[in-house]
Amino acid sequence: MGKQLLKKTLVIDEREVTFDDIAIKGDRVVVKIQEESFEFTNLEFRSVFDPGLGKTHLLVGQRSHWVEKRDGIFKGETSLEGGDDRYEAPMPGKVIKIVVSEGKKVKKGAPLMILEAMKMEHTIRAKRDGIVQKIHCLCGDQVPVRASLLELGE
Amino acid sequence: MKAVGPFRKILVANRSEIAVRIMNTCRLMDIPTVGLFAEDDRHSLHLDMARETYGLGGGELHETYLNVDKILKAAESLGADAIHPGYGLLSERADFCRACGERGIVFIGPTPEAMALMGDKRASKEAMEKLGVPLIPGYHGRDNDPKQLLKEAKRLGTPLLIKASAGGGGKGMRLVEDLSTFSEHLASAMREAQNAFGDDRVILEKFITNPRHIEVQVLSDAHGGHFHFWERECSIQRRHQKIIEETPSPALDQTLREKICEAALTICRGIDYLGAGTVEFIFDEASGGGGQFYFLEMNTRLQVEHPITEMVTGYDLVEGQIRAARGEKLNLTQEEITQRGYALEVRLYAEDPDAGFLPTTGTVRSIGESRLPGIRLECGLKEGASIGIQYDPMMAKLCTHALSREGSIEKMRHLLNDYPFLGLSTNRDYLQRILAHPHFREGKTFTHFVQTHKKDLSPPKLQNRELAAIAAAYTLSEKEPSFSQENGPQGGLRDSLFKTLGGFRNG
Repeated sequence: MGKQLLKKTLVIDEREVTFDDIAIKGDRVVVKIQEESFEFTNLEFRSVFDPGLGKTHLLVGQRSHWVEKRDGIFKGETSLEGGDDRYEAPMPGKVIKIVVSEGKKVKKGAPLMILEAMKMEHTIRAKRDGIVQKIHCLCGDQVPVRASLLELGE
Repeated sequence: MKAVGPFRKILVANRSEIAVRIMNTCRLMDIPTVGLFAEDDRHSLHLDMARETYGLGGGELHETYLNVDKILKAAESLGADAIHPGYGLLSERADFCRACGERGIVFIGPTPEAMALMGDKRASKEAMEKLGVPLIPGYHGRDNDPKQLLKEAKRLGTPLLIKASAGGGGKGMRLVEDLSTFSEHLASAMREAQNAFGDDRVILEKFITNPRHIEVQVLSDAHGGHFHFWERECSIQRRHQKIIEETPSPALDQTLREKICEAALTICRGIDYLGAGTVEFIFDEASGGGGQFYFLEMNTRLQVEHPITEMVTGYDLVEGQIRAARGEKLNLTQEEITQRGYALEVRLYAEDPDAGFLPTTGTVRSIGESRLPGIRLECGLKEGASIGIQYDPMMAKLCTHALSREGSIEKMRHLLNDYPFLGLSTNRDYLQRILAHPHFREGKTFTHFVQTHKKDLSPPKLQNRELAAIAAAYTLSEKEPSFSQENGPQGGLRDSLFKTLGGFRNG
């Protein structure tokens, strides 16, 4: 079997990694990265592809990783835009208490709202002093991970 | 108590791995079982094990697995004459235990009196004090007014723990390191306690700086037979919940081991206990005489980590529970219950340890398989199962048994690779990092291990060689033909289980 050139940029655990070459040569795989070359035969791994996420979950050595192609549909970083002032649900859960209201001044570290999943509470706290601009959820809402919860401003 | 005779049928009032575990023993004892399921849980493995199943409908937990009326109705209509509650859910609800008795159904567990006593942290501490069992200094008074609690907190000083009086599993528990945050923590703990247990009362306790969590497994029959099955150490915890348990404890010498087990038996005799239970102690090595243990609480049920005790003693605790519940005299002597070798358990959770252990969701695409000897996989999931937020995030327990502690740890490192549970983010890599940590290897296990070694336990940066291996594996996985396109849990799934032995070499 001849040399096969594949896409050179992979997103590994949400981090982009560029490879100079990834080629299957018979029973070997040769990978070049940052002027180092590695060759693998009988590589031990397990993998599953998740069609919903468009990612592959890989176990290689002692560690597991999420891998996707650079030009995949999923772009994890887009939902993280907006920096520190946009508060997103760090886990899927239920909003059980909203401590603040729109227009309220808050100090860094102040509790903003409380989420609950599997009966464990998680408190969302202000990352800086500011004023609550917008609240995107209601008490009792079930929210998915990364749902926009609240915005802080000057 | 008179013998109630063999059970015709046991209803297992639980779900997932523990329901599977209980049904396994029922099968060995030739007792038919009834399995329960909520609407969103109808593909759980325990339903394949049960002789009959009964649907509890949909809705929140209190409408399904916590619905006493529905569950009793299921038992009556299917002719079950005993109920095994497992752990969690209804297992420590004295009202449920009583309701079973009123309908002539045997509750496989302790009496409602013993359960109510131990379920109340304050009352249990009073009882323990009378029995001469050592207690941690604290406030267990009846006055639950925040002002009174603040006053007591000032008297005890920091660090101190706020604990839900009715609690367990870390719910409604808060560590206060600075008194200025006491009121905020108290409000949060009370709210969480109210939500989880319907009871917002709390107790306060002095916090021990370097504690180990050591517990003793007990089993009592109705004929005055009280037995201990030695200790388990469960110091490795996150969010106040255990993630790694082992037996024997590396912290105890034989004298202390016998002393702590004897203290557990004193409690069983003192409260005329029945069935299986676990007496939890906090062990403080810093105290003189090799260390001092303090009574923490008694769990009046089968414990999550009971399999490791079964591995070292060779005794089936669920069988013991069933025999004790039907009034049999246990055919045991304390002398024949010995610890052989070392056993280790890890709890695999759907959670992200690198993001504060917050729960994750997703689909279990590949569980894996193992042919190692001396292992147990306790799991109620099938491939294709989706993990949501409605139930506990524990997916499975992996247990290993070997002649040495080192041997059981090494075996576990391989077992975690054999059962990788791919398809969603879990704590498996994190568990591997704990198992590899030198302090864990040396048995320096304290309940703050996870916080203390936080930096060491975060994922190491990937080196070029590892990145290259990932890229190579990914590329091969894309080329591998699908093994289970047709038999796979979900259509279109490319489940490449290509696996060969051997290493890799640098070029």
